[in-house]
Amino acid sequence: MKIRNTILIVTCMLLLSSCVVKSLNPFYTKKSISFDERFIGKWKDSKKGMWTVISFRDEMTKDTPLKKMKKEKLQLYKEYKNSYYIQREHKGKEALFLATPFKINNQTFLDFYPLENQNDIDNLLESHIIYTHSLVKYDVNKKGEIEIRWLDEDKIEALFKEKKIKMNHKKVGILKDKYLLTASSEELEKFIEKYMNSKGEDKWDTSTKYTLSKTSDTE
Amino acid sequence: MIQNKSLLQRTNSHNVARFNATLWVCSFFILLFLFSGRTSPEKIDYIYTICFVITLIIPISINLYLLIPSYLKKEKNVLFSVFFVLNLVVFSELNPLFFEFIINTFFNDYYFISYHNSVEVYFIFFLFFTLSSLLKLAEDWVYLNKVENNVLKAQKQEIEHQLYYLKGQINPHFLFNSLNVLYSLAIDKKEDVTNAILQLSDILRYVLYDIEADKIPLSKEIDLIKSYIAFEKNRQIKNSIITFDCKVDEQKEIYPMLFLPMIENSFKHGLKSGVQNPYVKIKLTEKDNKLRFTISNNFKTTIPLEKNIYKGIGLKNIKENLAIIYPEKHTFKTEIKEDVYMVKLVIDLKQ
Repeated sequence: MKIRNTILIVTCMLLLSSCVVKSLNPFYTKKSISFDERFIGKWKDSKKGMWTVISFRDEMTKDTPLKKMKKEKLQLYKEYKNSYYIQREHKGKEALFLATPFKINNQTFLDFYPLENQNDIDNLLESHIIYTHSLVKYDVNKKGEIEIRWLDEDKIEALFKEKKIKMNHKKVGILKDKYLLTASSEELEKFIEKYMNSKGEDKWDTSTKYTLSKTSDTE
Repeated sequence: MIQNKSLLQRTNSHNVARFNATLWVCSFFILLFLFSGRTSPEKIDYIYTICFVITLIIPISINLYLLIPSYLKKEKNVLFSVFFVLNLVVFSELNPLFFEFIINTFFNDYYFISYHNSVEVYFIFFLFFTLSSLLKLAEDWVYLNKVENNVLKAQKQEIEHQLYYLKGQINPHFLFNSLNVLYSLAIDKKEDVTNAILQLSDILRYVLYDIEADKIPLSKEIDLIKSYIAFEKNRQIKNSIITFDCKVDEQKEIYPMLFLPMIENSFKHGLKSGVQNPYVKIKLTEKDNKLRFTISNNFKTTIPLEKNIYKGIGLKNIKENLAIIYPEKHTFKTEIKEDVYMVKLVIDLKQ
């Protein structure tokens, strides 16, 4: 049962990671971080997944006051105090993310980064995994629902194949067919800004998208 | 001098087209190499490099055609440095704006992301400001070097013409004196006339062929002196004493026909002046590359000095010759003590 669960989680992760743009560096810089309280709360997505979004600042200080915080934890706190701690439950499985909100040209984005040492993942497997950042477009619709769309890898793959982009990256995977961006955060922001201004109605079309409806304001 | 000035004006041509073609083609390839990184250049790299080069044209041109000629070349180094830095800062800051304008206007569908940051722009601008300045200064240096060579060539030509002219004056002068000797021998119907012609022939062979060389071994010059003395002895002037002491390294070289005019003078104005017991003493020594030539003779003091020896063309030519061929490497002194005239010449033979 445990093996099956682990395989399922890893498969889910691989499926998830196979279609979104991945980056070694965050998609934001400190200057562009823009925290939005409205995202905090419990949400239900269109695929029956449950999302719990809490302030990372609150999560960190919940048990340990700032003054008693150890050096490493304090560093983590300072780095991500304006981020969200996100827990997603889907079909009994749980995944944890750190999401940092930032704005470019008045458009809000989230930088998703999986938290390490999660349950049900084999240690040996864990030691081989490099967690990467992904870019999420964040919109609030008229109903008050939140629409989150991951930037699809197909879009950036097309740019690379057409040779219309010069951005540091590596090709990874067994077949070296996956793109891993290695550009700096400044360069990634420059890319997002340019991408936002580019033509193309389907530029944010993606298979990895969720519409979140709020179920409650707090845990 | 006038010739040199016109030479300067004639060659003072900065070829704008050639210089700029070289500069910008080199700049393009250097930047292309820089921007392509480890990969081979692609279309996007060519586009980016061309756009970047365009943003460099204005500041580099300001530096080359305004700052360098107005300040650096006029040795206003502080002002040049200030404007150089100002130009660098202003255009490095403006570069992203210019660049964005160009790419957004003409290449909007390209993503130029991982090329350089703002600090690297400063570095690239500084690099190209410096390289273009050095290229311009190198061009100026090549031009000045060329001018200098041309001036030197012109000067050399001028000196050669002058020497040729001086040599041309010596030959007929000597020939004139020699013919007088032959004439006097012929009048007296002396048998020595045939020997004299032979000796003159030896002298003329030297004059005709060896004089063309820049330098000849001392041995040849000594042979000439000996032939000349032998030739002059044909005159058989009563009680005359002619001595020639020579102690030199005969392989050492000197400018040809240097001593003969002085010897001619001594014979003409001393030995033949009608003085009692005439003599000509010639001494040629060499030590530590210092060649010393001394010639002394007595002369008839009743002849006014200005009509005598030392206003002759030959002596004047010697001084002019020495000034050209041994500048600051010789001393030439003449002395008159009662009825004795003496010339002392010291030449430094060191190269």
